[in-house]
Amino acid sequence: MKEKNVNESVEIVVLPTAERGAYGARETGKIQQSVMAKLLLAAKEPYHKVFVRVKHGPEGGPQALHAYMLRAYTYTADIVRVAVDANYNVQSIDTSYAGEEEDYAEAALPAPPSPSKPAPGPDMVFGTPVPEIATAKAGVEYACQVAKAAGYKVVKLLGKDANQANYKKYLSGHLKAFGNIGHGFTGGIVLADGNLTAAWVSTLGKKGLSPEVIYFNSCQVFNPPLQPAIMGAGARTFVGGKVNLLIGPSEEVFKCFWTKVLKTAEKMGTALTTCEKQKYPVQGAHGIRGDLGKFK
Amino acid sequence: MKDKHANASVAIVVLPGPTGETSAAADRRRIQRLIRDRLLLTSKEPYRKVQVEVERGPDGSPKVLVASMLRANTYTADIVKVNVDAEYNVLSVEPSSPDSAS
Repeated sequence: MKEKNVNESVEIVVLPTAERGAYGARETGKIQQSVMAKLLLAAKEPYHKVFVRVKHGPEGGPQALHAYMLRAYTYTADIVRVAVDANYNVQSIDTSYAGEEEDYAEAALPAPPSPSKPAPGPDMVFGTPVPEIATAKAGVEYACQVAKAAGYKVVKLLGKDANQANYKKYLSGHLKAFGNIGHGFTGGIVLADGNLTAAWVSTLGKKGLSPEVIYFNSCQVFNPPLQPAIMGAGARTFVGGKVNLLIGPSEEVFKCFWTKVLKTAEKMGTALTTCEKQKYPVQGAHGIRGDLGKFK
Repeated sequence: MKDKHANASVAIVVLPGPTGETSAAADRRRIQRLIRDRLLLTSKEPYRKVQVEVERGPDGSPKVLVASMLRANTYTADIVKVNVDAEYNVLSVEPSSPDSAS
């Protein structure tokens, strides 16, 4: 099955210009098609929205598209100049284009919508409802330590604190990352006082889990209905067990992943594959979906 | 001498209800006995712990026990629904659909 590109649903807004005012549906469609095919689908960076301003030549025909590409997880706007012919067919792309003064002065871009409110609380939460499993507790403590060393504010939830109220509060708190080690099933994870289910995740809305990287070190969670529910709630990345995960070796993968991602800044997809190869007896037991690039 | 079953000593925790109400001690013991006899001692899979949620009817009588059975060697939770009558007699046992596990 073909993986869905992270940018294929990104909104592309064609801005009105002094020369033309608003653009018709046909022209807008052509511009959007060029930007989608040549910029968004070719990019590794996930984007939130793209504003496009058409630059016209002296005779009034289009010459270039200036695309202001707003990143999904930071307040960065990548500005790209796309040279086009009269039918908006792409001739060349200049990613080093820094913009002209008028791009900033006259663009009057709407303020980029915030992907998440800067939270006064923690950046990351790691927890386990089963700290009596020594390797589970050690895995959580290790991840906390690595995250703190990388400069993040971290909350650790062990035993009775790994409960539904805390997990719901933090998971929906627009964190950077959330890691859990504990038992799971295709529809949820087991906490100290009950189960956190796909049904609850489905109530969160499209941005409920944005922009979190969520790693559930639990069996079977990387399956419907939980996996699509988590991605549908806007998680940046989701990592979980596709099949049953062994107690012991799976925590080593968890520790390895967070070390590579937070300490050595490896890409998340590569980190998981490498860690599974190094630390787990079989390959393909874990799944990862969403943004597979660098955490930061 | 009869071998002790691998699940004979597994902890069975009866969780409080959605509004925090706890089951009476006598009810908890019946639930624990039922889960041990019908689920744990009939299973070949070794378990570490079972958490039981009690779903009740409008009159407060028990209807369904949702058992989250935590395996001993993997992070797998087997979710099993036990339909019971008001006296905790088992009517039927079924693996729960993932979504319905509360």
